[in-house]
Amino acid sequence: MKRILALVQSEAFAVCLFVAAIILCSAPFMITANIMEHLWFMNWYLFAVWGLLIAGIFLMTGGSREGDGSQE
Amino acid sequence: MNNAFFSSTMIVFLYIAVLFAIAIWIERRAARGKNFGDNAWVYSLTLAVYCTAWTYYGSVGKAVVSGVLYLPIYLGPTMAIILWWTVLRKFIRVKKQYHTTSIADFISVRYDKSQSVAALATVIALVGSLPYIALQLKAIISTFDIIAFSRGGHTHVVPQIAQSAGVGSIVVVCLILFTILFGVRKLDPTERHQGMMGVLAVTAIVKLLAFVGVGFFVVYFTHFRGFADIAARLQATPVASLIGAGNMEQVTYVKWVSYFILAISAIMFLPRQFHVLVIENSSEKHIRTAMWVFPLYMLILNVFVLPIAVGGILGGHPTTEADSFVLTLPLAHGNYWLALFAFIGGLSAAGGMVIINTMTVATMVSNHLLLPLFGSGKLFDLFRRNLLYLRWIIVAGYISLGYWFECKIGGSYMLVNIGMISFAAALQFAPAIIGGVFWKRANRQGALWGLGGGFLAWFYTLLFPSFVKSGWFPASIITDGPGGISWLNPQSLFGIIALDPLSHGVFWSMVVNIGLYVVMSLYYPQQIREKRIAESFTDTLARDINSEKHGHRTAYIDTAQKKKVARTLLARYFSDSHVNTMVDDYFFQSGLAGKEKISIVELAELSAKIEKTLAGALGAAVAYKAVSESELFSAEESEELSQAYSQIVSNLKIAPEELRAKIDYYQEKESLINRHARELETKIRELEENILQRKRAEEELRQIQLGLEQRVQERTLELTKLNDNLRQHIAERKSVEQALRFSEERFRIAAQKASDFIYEWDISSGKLEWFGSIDEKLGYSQGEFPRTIDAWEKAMYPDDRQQVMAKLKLHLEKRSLYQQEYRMMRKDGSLAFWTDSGTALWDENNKAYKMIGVCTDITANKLAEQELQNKLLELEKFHKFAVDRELKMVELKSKIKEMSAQAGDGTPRKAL
Repeated sequence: MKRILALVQSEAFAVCLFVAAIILCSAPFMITANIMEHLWFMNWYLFAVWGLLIAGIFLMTGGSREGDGSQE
Repeated sequence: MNNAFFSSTMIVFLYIAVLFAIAIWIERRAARGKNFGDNAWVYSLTLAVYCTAWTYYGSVGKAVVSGVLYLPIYLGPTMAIILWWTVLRKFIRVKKQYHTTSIADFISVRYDKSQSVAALATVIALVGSLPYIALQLKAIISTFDIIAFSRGGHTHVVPQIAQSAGVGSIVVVCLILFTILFGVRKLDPTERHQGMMGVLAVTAIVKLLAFVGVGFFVVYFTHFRGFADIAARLQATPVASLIGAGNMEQVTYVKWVSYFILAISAIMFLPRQFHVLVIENSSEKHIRTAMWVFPLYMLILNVFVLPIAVGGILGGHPTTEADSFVLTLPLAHGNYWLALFAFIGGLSAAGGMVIINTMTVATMVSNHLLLPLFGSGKLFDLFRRNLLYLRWIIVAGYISLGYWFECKIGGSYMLVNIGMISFAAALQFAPAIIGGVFWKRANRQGALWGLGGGFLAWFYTLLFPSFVKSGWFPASIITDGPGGISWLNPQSLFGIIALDPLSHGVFWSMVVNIGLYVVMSLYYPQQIREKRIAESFTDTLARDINSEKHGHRTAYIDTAQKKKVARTLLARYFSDSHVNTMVDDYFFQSGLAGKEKISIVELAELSAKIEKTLAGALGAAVAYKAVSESELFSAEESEELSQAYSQIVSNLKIAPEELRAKIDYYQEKESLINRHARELETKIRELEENILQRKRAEEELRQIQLGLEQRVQERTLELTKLNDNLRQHIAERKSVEQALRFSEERFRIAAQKASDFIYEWDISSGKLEWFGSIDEKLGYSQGEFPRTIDAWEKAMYPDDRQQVMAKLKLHLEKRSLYQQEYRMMRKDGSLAFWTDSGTALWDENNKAYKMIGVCTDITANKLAEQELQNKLLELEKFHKFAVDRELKMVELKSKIKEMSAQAGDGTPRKAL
């Protein structure tokens, strides 16, 4: 558990999350040329991605847990 | 004017008053050490200043014409936030180290504390944000028009009544007052704007609740019965067909990416964002909370954007008014109060942005444009010493200018599109800042060229075309290029036509900015000092190194002289009393208090402290220039400092990675300890202050008491002594007086009743004082008998005079016994018998100077004696006669007996 936590709170995880975010946010344009045709779906898809990113960040930072805050 | 106008006006003013009250309350708490701003949630909410009126109202508008293109504005920041722990933490550490006050200050510090870099960054921030301020004011005023004059569902016509009613002016005055009161009220280097941050947090909650409230209303209380219902209706009638192909904005991947890039940079590099993120941050740990709270805030805020947009379109509202759907939808369905609440949310969004942005710009303009312009000449002393008032003027001028801008060009294309254009302006800071904290080689020349080139490219490709589209310049410039030169077309520079205007501008400004930044940084060498700063930025921890080697340097620099220089330097910007306290604090904090000589390293520390303080008030560039131009370091001292630094670096002998790891560890540790220490220090300081005050008061009281006691004791002692003396004196005097009285009494009685006369003869003067009734005794009237020795001698019976005077002379000369009996002649010539017994007093020369004696009148005794003699004589005569008679009788008897015997019978006769 500690290992997983350390991994999630590492800088490498942050970079991975960032790259994942770029890919996930670009995905709609890989799926369809006219995004407006799927506006409703795309909107909630992006919200889902957004939610995942927030969850990832929450895990990465350990929420508001007090500590030294290091990500080593 | 109607009821809606008055009710909305009253509620707006009430809301502003509540915000004022909150700000004052927080500031007062902060003054008592209760730090409201030192809270991760407050910090996270203040970041919502990112969501301005442009996003609050504009997101729905954007969703109507561009679909999901509104999302990158918020999703982009969320992506940037993923890297905050690495990036933002560096910014904050650098801010703490160099006490930077703004984004321009931050950049200038990194690039050799260059005033040119700071000035350029300030100009970019100023130009980029002024139209944005105008946009916020426009949003406040136009939405007030809707809310105050469109009650009853007439929402499609938006009259410009508020403008003419002077609402704009009132809004401007309120914003100016608020900014001055809580943003630039003080010129304190350690100041953080607690009140303003608290208000920002409150407004963030208000705008979130308002927007979500409208969203709920649209989704559940209008024509729709929830999200599914909207989705179903949208499927039946696609948005594109409702809006019409002509009004739809084409969303390409390039545009999508451009929006992301702009939003990623805007969340950190918009001057107001940088301010709340970095400058107002009180603890690195707050970043971690903000990293998930702020994206969550944005997510919640945006959940209802598309439903509101779709609701507006499906409800038949014109797409041209999509920006005001947030207000017009509740109004159209008769919910005025919800619309008013939504307006308050929009007001919060716009007001917060204006206040923070103005405060930041005012600081930058005063520190990086005006102060360097004033230079160090005495001519501008007035401005330098009144820097605070100067900032107030800038605040008032800046907001007023924004309002003027809004009045003049409120409806132009430029203003409507300024949101993304402003984001693109903020993007120009990105290479210089990101490169500054990650790339050691980056230098001042690179930053200057990069910022300058990027700014020009931004101006030419983004701002200038908006001027053209606003009709201020010929439209042919963006169709055929300036002067018909197509490759200079600002929207298709060098023939690039594949990009939309925004992406085109972003592309070129970044190419120019990054290109020049890298090339110039590589081309120009770094100065040693700049290299040192670059290392401290990229490593962020090298700052503690200096403190290691203090002991190796000789203390030879005259402290008094440096103190004087420091005072002179600070006195140019602060009041004299403040300066003295500051300088004393520096010396105390550096442990230099009481030292007559200091080492070069200690002087460097002192210089850094002064510069840091000045930087807090004036910005790093001006502070650096002021310290550099002062006489704090002589040429020799500068040389020695350079050597000392080299020695320190070489002495470390440690791999950079290892050093970084160690420093990281210790800095984290130090950070924690420092925080605890600060808290403790604050408490201790308060306690010490209390104790000190109490001690002072006690000491004063004690001193007063001691003084009083001493005075009382002294006084008592004096009085006691005096009293004793007096008592003794009185006793003595009484005793003497009594003795004297008794003596006098006795003497008087003795002298009067007895026959004695006491005399005192002053031999030199011949005066003879008599005590007793001498006049009466000698038959004179009172005081008639002369009191001289001659009178006494003259009154003496002449037969006795010679003998008495001889005896007296003998006594005076030979000290023989003087005791005489002589006769005195009364006035009537009768004689009085006196005995005289006296003794003289002799001086050191054995000369008699006084004689005291007593005379006794023995006349009565003498007379009695004489009478007794006479009686004795008479008795003797009688005795003799008696004896003779007896003898005669015996003879007679004998004769008778003989005769009887001779006569006869022999029997004697009895009768005989």
